[in-house]
Amino acid sequence: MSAKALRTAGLYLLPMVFLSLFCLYPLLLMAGYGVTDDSGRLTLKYLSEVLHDRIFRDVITFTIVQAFVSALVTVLLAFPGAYLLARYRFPGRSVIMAASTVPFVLPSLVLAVGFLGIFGAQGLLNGLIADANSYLGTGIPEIGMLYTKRIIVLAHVFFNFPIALRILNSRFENLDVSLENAARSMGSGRIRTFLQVTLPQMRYSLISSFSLVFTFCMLSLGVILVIGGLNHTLEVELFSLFNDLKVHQGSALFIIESLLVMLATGVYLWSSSREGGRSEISLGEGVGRKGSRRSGALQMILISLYIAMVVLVIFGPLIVIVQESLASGDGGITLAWYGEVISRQVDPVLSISPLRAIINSLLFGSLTMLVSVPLAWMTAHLMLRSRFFGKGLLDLMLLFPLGASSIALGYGLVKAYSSGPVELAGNWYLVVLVHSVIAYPLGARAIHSALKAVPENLVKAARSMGASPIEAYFRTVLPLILPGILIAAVFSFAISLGELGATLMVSREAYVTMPVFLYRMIEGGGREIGPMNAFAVILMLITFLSFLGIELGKKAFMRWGMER
Amino acid sequence: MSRGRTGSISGRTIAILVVIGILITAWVLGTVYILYLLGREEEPDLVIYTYESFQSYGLGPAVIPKFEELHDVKVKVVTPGDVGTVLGMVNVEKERPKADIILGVDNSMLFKAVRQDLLEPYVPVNIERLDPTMDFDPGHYVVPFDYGYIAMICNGEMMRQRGLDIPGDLLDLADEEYDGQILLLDPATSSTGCSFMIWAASVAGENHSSFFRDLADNANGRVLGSWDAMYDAWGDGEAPIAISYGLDTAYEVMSTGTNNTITVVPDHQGYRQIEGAGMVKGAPHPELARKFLDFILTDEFQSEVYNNYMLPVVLGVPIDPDFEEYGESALVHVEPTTTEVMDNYEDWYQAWREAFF
Repeated sequence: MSAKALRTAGLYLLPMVFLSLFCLYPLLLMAGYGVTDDSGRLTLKYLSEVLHDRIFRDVITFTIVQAFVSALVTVLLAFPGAYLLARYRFPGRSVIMAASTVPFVLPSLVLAVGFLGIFGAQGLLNGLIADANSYLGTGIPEIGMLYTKRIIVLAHVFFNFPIALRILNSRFENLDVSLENAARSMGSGRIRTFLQVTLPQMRYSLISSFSLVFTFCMLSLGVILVIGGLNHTLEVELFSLFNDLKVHQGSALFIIESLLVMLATGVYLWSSSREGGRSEISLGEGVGRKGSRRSGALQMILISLYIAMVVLVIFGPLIVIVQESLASGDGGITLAWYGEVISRQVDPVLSISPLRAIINSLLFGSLTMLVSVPLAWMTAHLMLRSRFFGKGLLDLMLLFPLGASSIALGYGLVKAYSSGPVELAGNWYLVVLVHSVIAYPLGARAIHSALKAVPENLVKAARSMGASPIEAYFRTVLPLILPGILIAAVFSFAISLGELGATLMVSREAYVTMPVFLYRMIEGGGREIGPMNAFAVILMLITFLSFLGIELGKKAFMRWGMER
Repeated sequence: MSRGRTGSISGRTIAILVVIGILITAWVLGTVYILYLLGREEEPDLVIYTYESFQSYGLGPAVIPKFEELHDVKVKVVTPGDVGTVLGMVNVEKERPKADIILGVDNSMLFKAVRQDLLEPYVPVNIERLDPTMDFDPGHYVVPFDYGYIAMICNGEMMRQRGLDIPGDLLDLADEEYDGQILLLDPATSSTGCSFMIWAASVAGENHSSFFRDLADNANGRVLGSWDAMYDAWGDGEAPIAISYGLDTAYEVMSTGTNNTITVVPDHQGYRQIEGAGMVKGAPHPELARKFLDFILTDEFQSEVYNNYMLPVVLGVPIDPDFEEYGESALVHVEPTTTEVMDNYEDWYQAWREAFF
């Protein structure tokens, strides 16, 4: 083997070992339970059992249908926004871009709490309806949105709208406008140009944003658990089957879920590579030209309506949470709920104090960052390496956790490491490890897209001027990819802070994280609205502050770089 | 760029790297140390896994300190969720159990624990104290600690407003009269719901499938995942009839002083939910676990089960006068044995799923 091949193999070693130990092995273990019986013999009994069961089939169908509808609505809503943002200059443009990052990093349970506040029997909407009915004498019936299929789609659109917006927007900004201009100059009308020239150029971005959102909707858990009622998706069904000790059936369903998700992820990777990998999930500002056209009156109205909708949809639930966290029983404003959350002693039911859950989450988040950023960094370099046989497959595997069921991953990890020499189950490091495994692929994609933009000649130039390889790397490449690394860091932190499924399975009493604690506050008996919302606001604030911190750090770094 | 020297790293880069390295190391060490400090706790002598309301209603805080004092030991109570979650956790930890006792496995759920081989049988030294009619578990996997009747509860005011008859028989719930008037529980996630399903199947017998379909029609989608959620919804007037316990009127009278709950336990169709505690197979502290199981049937424990709004399983333990006055009970009991539940559960549950989903 040549020295170069050896080096490549060496580089792959660490991420692959980590991935195999903490993702592939536990998931294969779970898949194994789906095709073996209690005595370990191979059998297709469970697979055929779940496929022949009407209710499981309904769950599979519903999972696919809701993901399809959610993705469709999301892309349809995001498409005009992406176009407006790319083509028009108008006030509030940067506000929209900033606001649209909010749902992407918001822990799913925070949104669930917001939806409870808006759509619940005692919620905002029904309160307004009751007021209207009593003052105006109207007879509007109460809204029963909670626990319906519609609310699941609504929540999924909320979460995924920004991703679709960003992917489509960055494609619009990078479109070759000369083609459009040529068509226009040859007498093609606006609409015709759009349909025949612009739209075809967008097709891979449309497919990739659709398939990515579809994947996320297949795997979402938190909102469906809390506000989905009896509408089980595969992920929720896995959770209840594993809890009900039906490991074989659960694992058989997990196999089916994985096949579906792999299909969707495959479509995503194919379409995003066809459009030149521009649909990276990135959090940066739109890089392209900042709107080339001035907007006319009609456009202004459309744009204003669109902004109003985005702001209302994105901030509505968050405002309701903040309002409920501050509402005292008699209609006044109070900080008492926050005081209670901070000062409450060890809850006999939840085993730990809310403050301890906050501390746990902060510690796990920062450790997750430290584990997953180096992994993401290495993986990003691996993805950029020269081609060799099987590289595509290896790259796919490195991104595998993106499409993994968090419930199966958590359960598999506990099953895999609850005996043997190193006992991981029930310890805090398992929480950090599972968060890192889930977080690093997204980080890797962020660093990868920064790395791709680095001109190859740059390192060579530095080397020719006498810098050592390391020196050259730190002097030339690092400053260029640092924003990507910072994004990877903040992704890791945010994912650790918001992860629910796997953490529910692996975390034990003392190491409960904020989302798990919040889940227990929501689902446990005697739901207390005030403290629950206050806790959700704290979780939300920590997430936002971490993003703000990274943003400031990036700005400071840029300024420092300029001054040099 | 002129500072770079051939083949070496400049001092400045090294300095930056060293500083970053030190910062990260300090960060990791600091975090791990805090986690170590937080995780340090007194090694417990006995670990009990139980459902949440054992702690929140006050039975746990009433009896656990008594036991700790009695044997001068430290007991740790872990509440991961409802009974189903507790069993799931013990099942996951099967290879290396951390719990000594599972507390709260009732006569509707016990078969799941037995089927997964989670429990170690034990006959407590004072077994003769147990009311013989409560001895639902011939395999002695659990020691019963309290019981309560599963009941239909009606919101008196709403029943009058809507002109509904109070159901006198469990099978009445199938009547068209109650269309949209019933709240039910998911037997997969709620132990009360599981008890109700077994109760309904036992009463309906051969016709359980059609009874479940009628129930599903009348519930009209109002099927909740946990008793707490259902009781809250019932309190909010979501529907006038719900599934709960025989002591609910007593609970309302004692906690709010009002008396609007009409609790129905048909005389000839009693179903007692009997809760037990059992020793985990491979428990780390088997000696003390057995002592705890012996403790359950003593007066010290039994005189506190009222905290759970449940009744003692030992005859002769005094019962709260309000429980006596407002509690509902039956003359004839229909609850099946663990073996019967084990043999029929999957059929019943399948019929339930077919009817409801």
